[in-house]
Amino acid sequence: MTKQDLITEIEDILQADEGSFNETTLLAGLEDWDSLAFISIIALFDKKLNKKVQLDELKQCQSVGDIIALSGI
Amino acid sequence: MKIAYYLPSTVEDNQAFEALGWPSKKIFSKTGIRQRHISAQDETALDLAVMACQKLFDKLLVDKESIDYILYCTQSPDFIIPGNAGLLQFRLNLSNSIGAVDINQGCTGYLYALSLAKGLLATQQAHTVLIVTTDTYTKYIHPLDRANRSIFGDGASATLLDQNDVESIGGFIFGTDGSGAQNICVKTSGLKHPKNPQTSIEHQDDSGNVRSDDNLYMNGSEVFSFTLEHVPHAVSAILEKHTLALDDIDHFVFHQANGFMLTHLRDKIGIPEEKFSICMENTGNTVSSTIPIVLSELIRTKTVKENDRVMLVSFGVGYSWAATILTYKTAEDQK
Repeated sequence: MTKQDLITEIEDILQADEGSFNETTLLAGLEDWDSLAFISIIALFDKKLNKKVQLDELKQCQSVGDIIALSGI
Repeated sequence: MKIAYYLPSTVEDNQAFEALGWPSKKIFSKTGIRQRHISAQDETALDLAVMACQKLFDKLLVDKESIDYILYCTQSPDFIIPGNAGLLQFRLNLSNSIGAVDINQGCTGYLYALSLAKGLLATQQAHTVLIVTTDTYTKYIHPLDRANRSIFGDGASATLLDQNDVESIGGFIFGTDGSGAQNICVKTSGLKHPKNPQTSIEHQDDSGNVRSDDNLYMNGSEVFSFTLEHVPHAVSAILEKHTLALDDIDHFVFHQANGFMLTHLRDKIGIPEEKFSICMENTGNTVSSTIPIVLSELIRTKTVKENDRVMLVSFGVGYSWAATILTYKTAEDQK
């Protein structure tokens, strides 16, 4: 999975238009950045990256780039 | 094995959450739930249990005189003192010469009850066991807690097991991790933290859900992580215990926690879609009743056939998890 693939997956989870996010996109103001999104990101990391991500780590993410940093991609 | 279930008549669909800022379409796509049944204000878990048992007796030709033990599983008891199994015995007008005990378990409750029933039957301590699962979690949920309101529904089930069922209930595996207890809890539900004006103070979480310490709290993300870690291992362990492979199982019935979670677990474990039951669209998560509700539907629709192997896996509050494998046998008088 490339960085861009991950951004596209995050766009899908947060119900944003494809191509509208980049690494600097801030999460805090997004309506769909909520507990359901956290579960979807945990599932995404598990399914596509075989990686465990902690809730506390996700909660500390300020931007899309912070989520990418957690992925190690 | 005979199973019946009862759902309270009031239905809440996803439209109810539009006013709380959650589009109904989003709720369905994230939970797999379209509606849930909600107990009336004066309708308790025991009332639901009585209705489920009456359905069992009336529709599945159960002679209630044959029952000599009740296992009553709930986490929304009418009373802490006395136990509720005795109240059910009285409400159903069952014999005084029976055993009756409460089990405080949530999502894994049905598997615990099956395990205990098997033990009672196999050791001839009882000849016909009535398992009841019943919960009204919705009474614990704050009206402005959209996350929990969208997931949970109320319901009850009644299962009758007799000596003929002992062999069809396989071995069990169990798991417990009390370090996760705070992730699904009602803080003031016992005597440790008595309710007081302080505990009823409402607060809003990061996702906009409102609740107090008197309400149900569930950390959905942590619970999801817990299931990802333990459920696949539970599946492997129960297969190993029976010397079976995944392909040898005809039906997989997991605790119906959340449709999204179930789909993810199914794909992660590699279970074929057609063998995996997701049956919560119209009920939501009814805690310990989800598995018997699915089993009842598999039997009613004749999806499960004689001698089919059915894997049951439950997980949740505690944390607690369990698994078993049933070999389905139609009750003699239902053939």
